Amino acid sequence: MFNNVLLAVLFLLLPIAPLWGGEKEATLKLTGPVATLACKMCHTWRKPVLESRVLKAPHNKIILNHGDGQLWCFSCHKADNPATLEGDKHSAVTFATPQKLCSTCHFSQVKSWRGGAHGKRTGSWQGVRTAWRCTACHNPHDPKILPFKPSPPPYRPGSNPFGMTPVDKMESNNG
Amino acid sequence: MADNRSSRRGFLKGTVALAALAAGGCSSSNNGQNTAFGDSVASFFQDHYQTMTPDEIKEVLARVERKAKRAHGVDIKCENSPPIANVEFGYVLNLSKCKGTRRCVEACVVENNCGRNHSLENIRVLAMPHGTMDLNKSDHFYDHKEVPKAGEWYLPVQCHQCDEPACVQACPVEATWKEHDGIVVIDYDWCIGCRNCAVACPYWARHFNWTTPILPKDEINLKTHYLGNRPRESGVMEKCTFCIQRTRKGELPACQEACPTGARIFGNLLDPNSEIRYILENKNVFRLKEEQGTQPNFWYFSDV
Repeated sequence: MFNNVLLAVLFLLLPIAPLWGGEKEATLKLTGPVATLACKMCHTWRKPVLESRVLKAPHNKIILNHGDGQLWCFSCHKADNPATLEGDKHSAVTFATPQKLCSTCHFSQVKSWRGGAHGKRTGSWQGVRTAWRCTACHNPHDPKILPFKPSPPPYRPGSNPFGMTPVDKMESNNG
Repeated sequence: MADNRSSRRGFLKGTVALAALAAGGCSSSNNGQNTAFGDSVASFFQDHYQTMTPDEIKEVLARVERKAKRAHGVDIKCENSPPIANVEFGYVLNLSKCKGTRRCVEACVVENNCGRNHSLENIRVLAMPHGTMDLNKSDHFYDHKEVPKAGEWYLPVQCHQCDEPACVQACPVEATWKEHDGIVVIDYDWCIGCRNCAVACPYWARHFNWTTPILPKDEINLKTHYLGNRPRESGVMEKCTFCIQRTRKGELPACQEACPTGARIFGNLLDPNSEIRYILENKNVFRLKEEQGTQPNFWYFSDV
């Protein structure tokens, strides 16, 4: 009898289980560009191609370099409404909260991001935190971060780039 | 004998005060002191920051603003915002994410009004070959076309705001001290420029203004703090202050904001919900040169 009650209580708690992980996420304010796509313009009357193929216009600008060739558009986009992302069977994820989809594979990164160890915070170190959403840094079709051109190096001592005055020079030589 | 020695300062005081009067500056009225000469006389008698009364500090801040106007032709706002209660600042840096872009260095120089004419950056990004942590093999003058370069990793080093700061102990005139929010600061007007602190610091975090810093007029940061980024003169030390003028108002340091990869995490060590506490509790963090016993408030970690 007691076991049954316990089971029933656990069963009732199940629906709020996802909230435990999302507790920190709910307090975050997200920032970064959000794409608005007019998928519906064509895909109300034209069925999306579900099989992998060479992309033609208007999708020819997309370079899919994510997941070592094992992913296709509908690994992430909903087939019936490509402007939303696959959540689970019953829910769609918007482009404003991409972490809900990304975490299906990259759960450890998203966990770190919630805690503040991955990604970037802006604004303030106190109060409501503003976090960059996944797609602010990573191009979802080609997520690897590209190399940077570094800012110029410091001057080597003695290179005298601004022409120090003789007095200053003497001072630094004595030092 | 002791009386004779102490009278030297009194003698100098008298001489300078007389000179000030002779020059037409009336020492009792404020208007008379607002000249360049009046300000330099007042600076001579200026006390240590921690021993000044609020009124005296107000005068000093106004003087700093006038001096900047004269030297650089800009109207800066100099403040002395006090530490926030229940806040101790800490910094964590993700070595997996740091790609050696030096954006932090660039932002720091502009934010903190560092002289452009000498190599005086508060942050040093050390490039090191894979497989070693020997700082002797590091190079912070690297000038690659692209970073990260294959076979290299990057270790940015700045002031670690130690709990047992060796630099503070080394200062013979107590011109540097640790504030309640964990920031080690310098009173530039009290510093005698002996450079003992630079020798004592294990992190090369202190820098000496060998020459008068050259600041491009349009790049001067007008939001300044007395203990932070106000324009310095030659002959004084300077260091990273975790952007005291920003962080004491709730903003993030300039280096954190500039980092394009999110490698830098800044926060309040006393706030259990802060990012920095999450990292200290959940990641494998380490301190640089921990064996020196300086108890830095700066940690490094890497993604596992």
